[in-house]
Amino acid sequence: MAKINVKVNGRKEKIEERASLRDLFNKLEINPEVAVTKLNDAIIDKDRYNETLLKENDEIEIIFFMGGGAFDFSEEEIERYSRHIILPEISGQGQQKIKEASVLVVGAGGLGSPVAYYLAAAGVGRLGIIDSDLVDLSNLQRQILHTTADLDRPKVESAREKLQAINPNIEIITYNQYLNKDNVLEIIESFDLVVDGVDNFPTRYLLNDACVMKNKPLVEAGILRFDGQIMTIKPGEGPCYRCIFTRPPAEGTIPSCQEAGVLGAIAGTIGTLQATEALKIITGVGKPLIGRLLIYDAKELSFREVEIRRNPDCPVCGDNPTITELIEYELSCELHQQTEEAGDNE
Amino acid sequence: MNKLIIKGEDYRAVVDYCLKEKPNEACGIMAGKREEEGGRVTRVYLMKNTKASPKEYLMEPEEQFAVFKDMRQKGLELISIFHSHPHSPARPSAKDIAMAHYKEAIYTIISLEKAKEVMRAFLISDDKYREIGLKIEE
Repeated sequence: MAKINVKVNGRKEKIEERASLRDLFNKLEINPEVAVTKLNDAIIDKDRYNETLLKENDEIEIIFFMGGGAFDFSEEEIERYSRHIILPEISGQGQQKIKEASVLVVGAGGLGSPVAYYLAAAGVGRLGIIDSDLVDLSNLQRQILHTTADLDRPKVESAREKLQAINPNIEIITYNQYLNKDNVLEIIESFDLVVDGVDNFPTRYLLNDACVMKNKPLVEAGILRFDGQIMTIKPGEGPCYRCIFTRPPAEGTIPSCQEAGVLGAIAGTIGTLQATEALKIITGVGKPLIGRLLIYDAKELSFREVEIRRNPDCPVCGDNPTITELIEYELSCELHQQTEEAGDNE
Repeated sequence: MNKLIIKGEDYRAVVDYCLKEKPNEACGIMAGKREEEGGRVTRVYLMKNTKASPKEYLMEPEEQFAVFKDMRQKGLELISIFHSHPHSPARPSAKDIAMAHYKEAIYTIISLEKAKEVMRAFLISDDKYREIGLKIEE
């Protein structure tokens, strides 16, 4: 094919006859989205790049947008987050994502404590904590957000104090209320990501269903005795909690932490993994636990991974969902963890 | 280019312009000659920030076209794109990195966060930045 001569930013360029501006961009490996182009002194709209054919001796001027923004961290923040920023996978940009992120931690208990501590310390810009309980003496064996001096105080107040002390740069929003079908959608709406640290099945199912309906990533976990389990739910990308456990277990079949006990440090192990998952989702680093249920056995100090698939017949995220409105199961007893067969948390 | 070389009077002109535009970000282009030692600035173009914002800047394309035309007529090369951070440190922000489309240019940032200005020069490519030297010649 015959070639013609054009000038691009004052330099001669040979291109094929009847080549368009789009062809020229392709040849020069220029992203048209970040450039402005003049052809013979007239700016050409991006929508016309395909139809604008070049002629012999055409003069093309291409500039790239020159712009940017303020560095969003103070020197204090740079120092505070330096061990993150130095990681090539995170760097300043990842830390910026963390700063711009908002995470709702449901439950300020055993799991919620390490989750909230690490997310606050990591610099998650907006951290929501919801819990309607008061601090009880029996909580202090594992719920490290609270101290003996906090007994009988609302957990969210105690949590706010500790988290703000660790990181005064972040915004903490507290909800001293029980999550129910009337408030869950509105509460999760303003957050990017939800972390489940609840201690009962009704709330766990409510949260799963609400997150599927609102398309919110949910980091789900439970602990009981010497065991723990965790999975990450990203609606549309993998299974949800109901894909594995379609409905809550029959009353009395699964004991609660109150009934069966839990080794306190397990809340730390699993809660820290939840915080890790949340930070991975926020920064886009690594491979989240989507479609994988991670099961922890503290006695053996072993982790086992079970592959799980989205269930097309799942009543909430399946192909033909039957649950289209939120269901609130009765909290008749302190039901806790279901295993693969029969899963809690705290 | 491993160094930004700028005359004292140009340095002061840039800083004065940034201070004048404060609290908004100021921006502009440094042109000159690429030498073995580094990019030597011989002309500074003080540009309009169309965003008129303390947190971001964007140059006016028509003004950019005019500057590039003038540079070409004078036989100057693009050495650096500069802007100020009126309230934050002289480090490339996520947006600065995302909009660093001139891979061959030095990105110069002037922080006015503290009483004394701080000017630093960076090369940005593949979502990463590397600080290079800055030489002010009197």
